[in-house]
Amino acid sequence: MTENTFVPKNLLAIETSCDETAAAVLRNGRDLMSNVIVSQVPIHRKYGGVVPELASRHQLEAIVEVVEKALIDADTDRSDIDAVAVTQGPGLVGSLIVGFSFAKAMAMAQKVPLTGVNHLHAHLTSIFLQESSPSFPYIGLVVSGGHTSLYIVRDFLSVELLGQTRDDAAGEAFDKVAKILGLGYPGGPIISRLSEGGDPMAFSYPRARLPDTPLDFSFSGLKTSVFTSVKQIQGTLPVRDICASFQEAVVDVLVEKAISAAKRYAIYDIVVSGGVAANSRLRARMTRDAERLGYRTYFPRLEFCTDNAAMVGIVGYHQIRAGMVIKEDADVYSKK
Amino acid sequence: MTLRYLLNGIDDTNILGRCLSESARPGDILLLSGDLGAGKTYLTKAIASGLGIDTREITSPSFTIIHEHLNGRIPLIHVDLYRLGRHADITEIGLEDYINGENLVVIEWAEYSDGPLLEQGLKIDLYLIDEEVREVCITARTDIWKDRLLELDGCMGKK
Repeated sequence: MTENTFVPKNLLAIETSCDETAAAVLRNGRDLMSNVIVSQVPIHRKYGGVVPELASRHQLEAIVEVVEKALIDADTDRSDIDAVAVTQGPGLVGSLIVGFSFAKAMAMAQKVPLTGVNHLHAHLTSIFLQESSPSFPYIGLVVSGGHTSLYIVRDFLSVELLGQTRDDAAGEAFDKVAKILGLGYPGGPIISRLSEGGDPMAFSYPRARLPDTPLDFSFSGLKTSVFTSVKQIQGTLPVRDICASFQEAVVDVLVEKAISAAKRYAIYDIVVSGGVAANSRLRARMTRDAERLGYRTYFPRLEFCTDNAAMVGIVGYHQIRAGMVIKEDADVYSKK
Repeated sequence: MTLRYLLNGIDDTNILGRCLSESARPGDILLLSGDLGAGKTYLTKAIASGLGIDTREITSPSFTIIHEHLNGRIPLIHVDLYRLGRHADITEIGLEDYINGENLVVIEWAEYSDGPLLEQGLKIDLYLIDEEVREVCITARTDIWKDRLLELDGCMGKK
């Protein structure tokens, strides 16, 4: 670090990579002063998981109000903001552009530095929004509707991808199985709840272990297997058993692969983040299996599992301190 | 005109993907339809492989709706209308910008769009027969595609 290193005091963070419109103010890289999220999930639920109007248009309507509220909640003013961090990708381009353009304009108007954050890196470090946090390096598993990826997190600025899904994300599998069973949206919480009364051994659904790339994931075959098993059943569907058996298959694979990565790299801390990290069976099994082998497990609080801007602030703060400021012609990216 | 094949496992799907990629030209639109688990994303992987794209990059776009893969022989735009539902408005997701004569646009759950923009596309319907076997129906609705289907059938015959 050079002597000129700029250390942001009040950092404004913005996230619009998928369905959420979110803004947060992070003080001194640690203290979360505000965290505002406007989600389209209630709207999706009403329409059975479908996006009735594109996220980006909704975000365009919401962004000014969300940022204003983040500033007010933090008891700050635009003029107090001395750095801006924004999600640059991956995500839906139309959605990313809303937050990205806004952040660019804000940084330019206030004459403060702007940094572009990778959405997945933000999930990986969301654990630092709470007291009990892991030590570097740690194994990071991001499980959500759009992603299932395993990393070594070396520090706030360097992460290494170990494996990722080859087809469907785990959260997507939850949503699609819920759809197959005629349950509501989002699928994760509903399947989790129904599983409690079900037998996880009732159906033997496949676990994709992928010997050639053992840290990759695949949930497409599992989804197809649930679909074909449901088609074969005549009469009343044993919904709870199907949910429990399906959930167990997902959890088995996530737990096995996270622990296997920890073993392979001799790393003792495992952090699970993303929307599916809210799943109570995953939390229980990961904690039990990992701790039995001497690994420590960490899960962000529920509000930081789903998409939020606070986590973007964590990475953004460290990037700005490291001088990673983006140029004015920078663009968003859909895939990393 | 419709071509119909029985695909016995992923090897056959890989062959179909390779043949589709060999005959693909910039500006083409492929409209994939079929139930959950019918193999739409897998077929897209097989097409991408033929274009020289790392197949590990190809994942389901159900959540993120559009994935760009720009480093193959032809830029591949992988789209999924699943979350948009029936009567999806493809202009709203900016899909028109990608239909510009430069890209190969592959659209999953294409039946969800009823706009005229996709009428020039090649219709590919996948049916799940059992866990291994799929049936595929490839339908040309324009004269240009009819000629090209003969090419495709020739490719499938050779493999």
